[in-house]
Amino acid sequence: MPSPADSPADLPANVDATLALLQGHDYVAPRDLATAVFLSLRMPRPLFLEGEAGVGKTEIAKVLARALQRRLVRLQCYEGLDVASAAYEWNYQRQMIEIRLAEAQAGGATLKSQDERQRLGEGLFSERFLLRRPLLEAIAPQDGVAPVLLIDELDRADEPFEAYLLEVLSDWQITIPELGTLRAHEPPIVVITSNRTREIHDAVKRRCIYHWVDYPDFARELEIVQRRAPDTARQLAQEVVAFVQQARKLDLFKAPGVAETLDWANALSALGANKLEAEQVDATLGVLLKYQDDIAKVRGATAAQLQRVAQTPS
Amino acid sequence: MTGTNDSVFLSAAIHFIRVIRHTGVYVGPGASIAALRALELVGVARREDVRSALRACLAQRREQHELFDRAFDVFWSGALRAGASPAFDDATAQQQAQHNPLAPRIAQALLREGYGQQQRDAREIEQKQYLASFSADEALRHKDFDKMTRAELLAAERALARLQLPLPALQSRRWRTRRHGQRIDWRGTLRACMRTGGDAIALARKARARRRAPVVALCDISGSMERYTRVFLHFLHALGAQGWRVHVFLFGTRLTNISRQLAHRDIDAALRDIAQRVGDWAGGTRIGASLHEFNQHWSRRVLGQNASVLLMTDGLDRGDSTLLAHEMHRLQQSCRALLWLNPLLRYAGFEAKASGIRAMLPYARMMPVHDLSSISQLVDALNTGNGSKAWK
Repeated sequence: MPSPADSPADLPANVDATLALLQGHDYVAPRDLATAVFLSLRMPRPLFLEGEAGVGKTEIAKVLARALQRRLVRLQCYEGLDVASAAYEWNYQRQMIEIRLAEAQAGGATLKSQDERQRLGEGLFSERFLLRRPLLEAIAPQDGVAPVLLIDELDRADEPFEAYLLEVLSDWQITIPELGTLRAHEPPIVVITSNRTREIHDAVKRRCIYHWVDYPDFARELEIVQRRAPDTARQLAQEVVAFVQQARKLDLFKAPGVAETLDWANALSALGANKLEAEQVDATLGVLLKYQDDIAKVRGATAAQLQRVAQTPS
Repeated sequence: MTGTNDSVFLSAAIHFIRVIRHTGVYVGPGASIAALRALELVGVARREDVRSALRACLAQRREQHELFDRAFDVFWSGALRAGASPAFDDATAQQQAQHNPLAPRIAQALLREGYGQQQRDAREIEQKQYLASFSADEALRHKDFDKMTRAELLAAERALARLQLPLPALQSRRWRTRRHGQRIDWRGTLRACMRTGGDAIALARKARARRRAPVVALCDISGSMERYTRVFLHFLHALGAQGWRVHVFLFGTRLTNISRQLAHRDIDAALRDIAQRVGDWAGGTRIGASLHEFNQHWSRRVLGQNASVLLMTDGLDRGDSTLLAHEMHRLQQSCRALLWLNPLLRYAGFEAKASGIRAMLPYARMMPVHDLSSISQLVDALNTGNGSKAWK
């Protein structure tokens, strides 16, 4: 990954340019996704991506950062995520030391005058003692270049955090009570992802460009495998993708995502396969499917059938 | 405002406020005063202004608006033109009831406020009813929902709406300032330091916040269950109004998510709306297939945050019992607690004979829900701390 350049690349001028930009960094996007990305860059509004696990939501942010030569600031969400870990925190240890130093300077005596206290207070809550967390780093970057802010798996955070995000996402500002309001000179490029383990509030979605990231079709998935797992033999890649495409039509608890397809292709290549073999398929199903029920359903007869379908030349 | 017209109008407005109160919307004295003051400000020249002003003061929740609008239309239809009390009689009430599910409540409220042809009779009857209600409440508690008259059912619904669901709040990962918390709140401590200039450092403390986990209800609406589910929906609606996160799904032959309808509308209007939208109301049931659909498409979306599942069904499923057992197992694995509410438990000699019931039984704790007292039992069961262990 290139280090953040002094001058970030220009934003793409239209949907085709966006498509080419993503393609250039090995992200094979359908046109509707490229349109959403283009709009979010231009309007500018956060891009809200929802979809099953492993369809390449997070990857978009990484690719955008690389393609536009900006820093990627990542905020992984979890339950209980609060302002202290998301936006900023005061460096309490250093503040305590500062108080001790001030006392020492006053010759061991306590700070009596109103003036001294005032000065100490102002000193304690200045930027010197501020620990910058991802949101603050995105709003007020130290290098002055608006980064790509990835807010990953927002559904894992709780509602109070969503509410806090509203101010950040709509006004591009963060209010620190002791310091004042910090506003972004240039809004960051924001990508929010969600796995839909709960519904995100409408108020957040309203501020974003929404896109549902779906599983790719055969041609696109094959291209992804060829770009992202270039060591895979041509025939194997085709059969793997055809197999996975068929498997997604089965009634599985968790259909395999693109990430699993890539893992599986890599796994089979590592085993030296040039095409799908029944034995290897059964042995490596755990790379593709992550639930015992699903594996039991696919293993054996179904896998053989899928394999036959995958190997019939279309 | 001047003259007798105003005093007539004023008394009508006060009556109207009382009617709104009788329909079940909480209107405190503060709100009444605000409403009258608002009328003074907007004037009475335009009907829609009067409506908006009163609604802004009296019905402060979205789901009350339908009821308010309906009551407003009925009440003020004749009142202003005649310059007298609004005309209202039983015939109109019945006529109204056919067109709108809210009408019975408004009619009752108007009657109670003394409007109607047999007002005096109504009042006497009501007084008697009131006196009798203490013992009636006791009787209601053990009467099967299935055998109740409409009036009794209404009383049961009201009682249900008052029931609190005291599911224990779970410890969240978030911190709150607490005087005797187990950790030191450095931020609070340092801020407090500013006041003393570092003289004395009083430690502020914090502790884990507590939070209620969501409730997901899966309700059977097949023919045998419809009556119970209707009553149960009132209970769920009340939960939502108390600030619980509630997701409600109906199933017969298909699964329908009705969380939004239930959350945003008046319960009666919502139920009628849902009945129209959900095709298989009071039809057959395929529990296994419906649970499969839930597990496949919804469980990851709504069971994420330690949710408890309330499954409301009699377990009489004609489908494949292996599938049912499998889906029950998956459901039990994905939620914090799975509680099966079964109205069939009312029969003393109930035995799990039906294949569906036998398939489901190992995965859930079964609770009777056929009358009010058993719903209270349900609430107690949800309340007890050991409940969550016993369910699994």
